[in-house]
This record gives sequence, C-alpha cells and structure tokens, in this order.
Amino acid sequence: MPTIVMASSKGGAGKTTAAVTLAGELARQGLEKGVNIALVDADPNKHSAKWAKKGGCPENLTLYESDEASIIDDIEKAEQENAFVIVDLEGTASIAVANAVSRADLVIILCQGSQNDADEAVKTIKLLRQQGKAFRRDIPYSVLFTRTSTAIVPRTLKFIVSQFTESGVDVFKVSLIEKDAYKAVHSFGGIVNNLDPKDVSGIEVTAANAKAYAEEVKRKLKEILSGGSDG
Amino acid sequence: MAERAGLDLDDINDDEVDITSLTGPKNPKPKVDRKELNKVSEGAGFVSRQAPKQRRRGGRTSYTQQKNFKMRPDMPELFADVADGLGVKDYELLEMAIQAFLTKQKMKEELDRFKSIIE
Repeated sequence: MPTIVMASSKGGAGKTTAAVTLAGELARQGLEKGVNIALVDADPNKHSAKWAKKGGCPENLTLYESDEASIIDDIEKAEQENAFVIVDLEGTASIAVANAVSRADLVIILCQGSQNDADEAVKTIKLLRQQGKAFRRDIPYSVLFTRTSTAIVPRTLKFIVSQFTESGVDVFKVSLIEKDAYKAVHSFGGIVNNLDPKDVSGIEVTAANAKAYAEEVKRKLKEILSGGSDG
Repeated sequence: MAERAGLDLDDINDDEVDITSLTGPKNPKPKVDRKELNKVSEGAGFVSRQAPKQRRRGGRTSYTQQKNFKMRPDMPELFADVADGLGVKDYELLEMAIQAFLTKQKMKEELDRFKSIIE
C-alpha cells in the first residue's frame, strides 16, 4: 500500500499534473480490480481538489483535502482506507512538504529542464537525505522531468540530467511531455483517456505518456517494496 | 555527458506491473517525533507557511448576534443587578424573561420557535 509524494520547493514544476495524472491512471487500472486510490491535496491553491471535484474521475478515486497542520494524520487516514496514496503539495519549501515526505514510500521530485528547477530539486534531495540520516530511514526518491518536448532535448536539460545521474540521483526514464491534453483535464474533468478528440488534440500520445509514467512508478514501487533500490 | 533517454513509449505494453501486486501490507515506517521532524526540516530550509493559530480564550458560544435597543434611564443597572443576582449573563436573563413571558401569555407558536432557537 504505497504512498507517493510529489515534491518540489518551486511552484510550476508540474506537481499537480504529475499527481492528477498518476492518480487518474492508477484509478483507471484499478477500477475493476477493487483497488482504491487516494489523492491528498495539501496545496492551498487546491488545484488537484478542484479537478477531483469536477466529476468524471474514476469512482475508486477519493479526494482528501489537507494542510500543513494535519498532513501526516491525513496521509495515515488515507493509507488505511486506500491501496495507493498520492500526495500533491504546494510549491514551496514548507513544513507540509517535509512532513509529507516523512511518510512517503516514494518521493517524486518534479523538475523542468531549467537551472532554477534543478536547484530547487537539489534542495528537496538534501531534505530527504537529512531526514534519512536523522530518522535512520532512507526515503526513496526519483526526479521526474516535466513539460518536455517530444521533438527536441535541449542542451540545458541534457546537462541537468547528466549532473543528476553522475551524482547517483535516480531519474525517471519517462518524462511528462508538454501536451494540451494534460491541461484540458482541468477544464473538462476526468482522465486524459476520456477526453473528446473534438475538444482536445494529442489525446492518444498523452494517454500513452501517462501510462508509461504510471508503469515506471509501479516498477519503482515494486523494487522499493521488495527491498531493492532506495533512490 | 550522459544522454537523456527517450520517452520510453515503445515498450509500454511489455512487463506491465499488475497494480494488485503492489497493494500488500505497507512497509513499516518508524514514527517520527514531530518536533524533531520540524527541527530537521527547518535546518534544510523547509519552514512553516501556515500562520500560527490565535489562542481562543473561553469556549465557543452560540450567542453571536447583536441587538442594540434603548432603555429608560437606570434600566441597564437594574437589568445587570437582576442578572448578577441570578448568576447569569445579560443575554441569558433576556432569554429567561422572553421564555417566562411567552409561557405566561400562552403564546405556544412563539414558544415553540423560542425552543427551536435555543436547542
């Protein structure tokens, strides 16, 4: 019963897109298998919560609205009631982020291909390592790049990836591509697969990207839960 | 320099992990002392963004509406003396007076309304 926390101390890194996409895709896969998914929204802007309330979400997805004071209790409650818990947080270096990651089985650190995003990702990695030392528990994490282009890989992004990998930081092979369909789910509600091609373009490629992302998360969790990698 | 991998879309149907295989018992995580956790977090630059809650003195009351009206001279003092004598607040004395009046006048409908308000 894993808890996956989206973390970045910088706003606009793609946490909500990553949280909503993963929650929606896992809920879609688990719908007929009796697997319930919790989406915990502790971002004061409540973008994930607004999406979940819009309708069209799979029935096995439950929203939990949270804040800094209650985030640990809310995660533990969601863990008791669901098979997967996905936590969306605000884009600041806050106690809420630090509290949430302390309960995580996997922390996904969101990062765009910019130096500023990478600097903030490093800040989050340092927090995880400090918590790991203080509480003698390695918190597994991996960096997920967001808003990437399907056509080109910019030099800055290549450089940042190389810096991470050379430092032993785990990086997702898949990235979340820049597609209108990811934004459209916040307008129409529901998951990418259920969007209407008359309204939105690129649904197929976005759905494939969402699925590849969820698969890589599941593979990482499988390894973590079996006592393999620790990020 | 390491090359960034592509989007990995080619093998999305291969080796799919069954979602139910991940729903077993949770990996136990040690309970952490929250004060210690805050200390570590603040050391890493992660600080509280939530305004501290203001301390509330006394209990929450259901007396939230205000009504001002004029009285004859010295009536406020009499009102206060009666309330003090009974050991009740001004607003409780007013309710007691209204209830006594409605009961005496046998104004059943208004008495029912009164009771539903104070419930």
